[in-house]
Amino acid sequence: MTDDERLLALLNDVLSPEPVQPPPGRVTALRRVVERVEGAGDGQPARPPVSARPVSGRPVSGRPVTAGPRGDRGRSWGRRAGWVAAGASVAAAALAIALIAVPSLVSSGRSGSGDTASPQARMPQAVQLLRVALVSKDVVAVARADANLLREAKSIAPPQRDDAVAAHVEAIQFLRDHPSADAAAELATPPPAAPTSEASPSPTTVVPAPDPGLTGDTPPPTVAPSPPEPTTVADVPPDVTIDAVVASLDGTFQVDFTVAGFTPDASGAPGTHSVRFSFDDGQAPTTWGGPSPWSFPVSAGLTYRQVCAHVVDAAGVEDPSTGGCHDIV
Amino acid sequence: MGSTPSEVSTAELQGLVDRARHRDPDAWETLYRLSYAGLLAYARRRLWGLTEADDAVSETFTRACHRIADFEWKGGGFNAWLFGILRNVMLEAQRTDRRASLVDSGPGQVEDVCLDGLLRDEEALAVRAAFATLSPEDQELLELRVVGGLCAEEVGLVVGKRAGAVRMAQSRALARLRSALETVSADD
Repeated sequence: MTDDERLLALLNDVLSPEPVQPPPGRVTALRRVVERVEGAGDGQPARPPVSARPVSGRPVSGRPVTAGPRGDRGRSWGRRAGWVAAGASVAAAALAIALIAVPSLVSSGRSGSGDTASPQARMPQAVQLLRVALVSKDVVAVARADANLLREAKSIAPPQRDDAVAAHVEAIQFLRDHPSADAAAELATPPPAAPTSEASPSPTTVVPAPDPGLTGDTPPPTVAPSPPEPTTVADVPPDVTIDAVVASLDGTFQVDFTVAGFTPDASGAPGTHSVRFSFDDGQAPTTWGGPSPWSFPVSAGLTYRQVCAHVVDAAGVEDPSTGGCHDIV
Repeated sequence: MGSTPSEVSTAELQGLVDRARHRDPDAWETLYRLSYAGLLAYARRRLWGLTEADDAVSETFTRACHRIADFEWKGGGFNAWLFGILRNVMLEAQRTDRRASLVDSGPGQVEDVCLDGLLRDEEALAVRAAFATLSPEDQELLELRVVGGLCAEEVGLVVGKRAGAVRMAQSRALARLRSALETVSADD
């Protein structure tokens, strides 16, 4: 062995990566990206859409994205690149909201065993059941398992939420692709009196009190086999467009909306402006665009409708109730 | 688990890439799993944090999905192509995000959680300290060879140099590493 070879071997010992595997949520997201790439399924290599071509300094996305008022690109460039479950955004948002309803959980027995545990070992039972149902391609079983997952969402620990969101997104997509009266009936039927985290909350579960100003009488999010899209023009007021509510793989969700004729601050150009919010557990939304009016308090437990109303409200619309999401939940 | 593209036969890799061209999610997942550790380690040493590095790898594969039709086997392998995309992703991130910065100097900046388990003896510590004294360019050339498992031709594709120039530069980088290692050892 030459000196160079020996030195390289030493360097290899120091630099070589451990055989880590990608997080399950990112694997699922990659598969979604593959499926959503233009030309998928036609057997022909697809050309990227114009907006997806890599351009220096711009994110890659399936749809045009305008930078936030204050350089949000740096924070979000990775998440924007299609690594969100945009395909079933509304339903995923419902789960995400259910997940953020309980910012901190969970009894130690359900939080997995750390990085050394296998993905299967760390996967909550509700997610496992849904996965099994998805494999079986049984529409009713998927609907039932997904509804169960939503009921169990509050008891899912933060490290496991990626799996939960990803499974839920797949379920919604599956149910959309396989409309079934039986599945609808299944969803309409009240669940049996099985013990759930809501019915029998764990002593360690903390349910934060919702903001009185935000609660209203909106019921908690429920799953539906074919939830309406929030992006249809008919649903939105003329000057504010809710582009999407996107469940992120980190358990947060993001609201993309466009305000016509609104200039958020000195750095923003007049005219249509897109902003994305990120809501974290129990925290005020991360306003990638900076402070007021893009910053407003949000408590845990909000419904999709309430979040949208606040977005619309923050954007300066006089009547939030006319915001573009009143029929979503 | 634990395999890398360099440990997979060329024929097998070509088969996977061929399936990936036709949007086979299973093929993409396999390629992702095969490449993940190396790409993440490479990104991890140049970006601000683990999340950013993970995002960079995700972005790399997103772009790869969109650009797979442009990939050709001549000159370098699929792994080199991925490293090239990742390098561009990181450069863009560094231009647009001041939080992300190149590892430029100082032994303390070569901290990598992936290395913790490996640095068990003085020799490894010395190598690590010596490596930290190298220029970012030298570090990158050696990392692409060691971490990425890329040959000179493939490294050349990634960094935009001819293979001969890469060999020369890597040889000089090794010489500088050896010199730095002697200095570090002498200081101890």
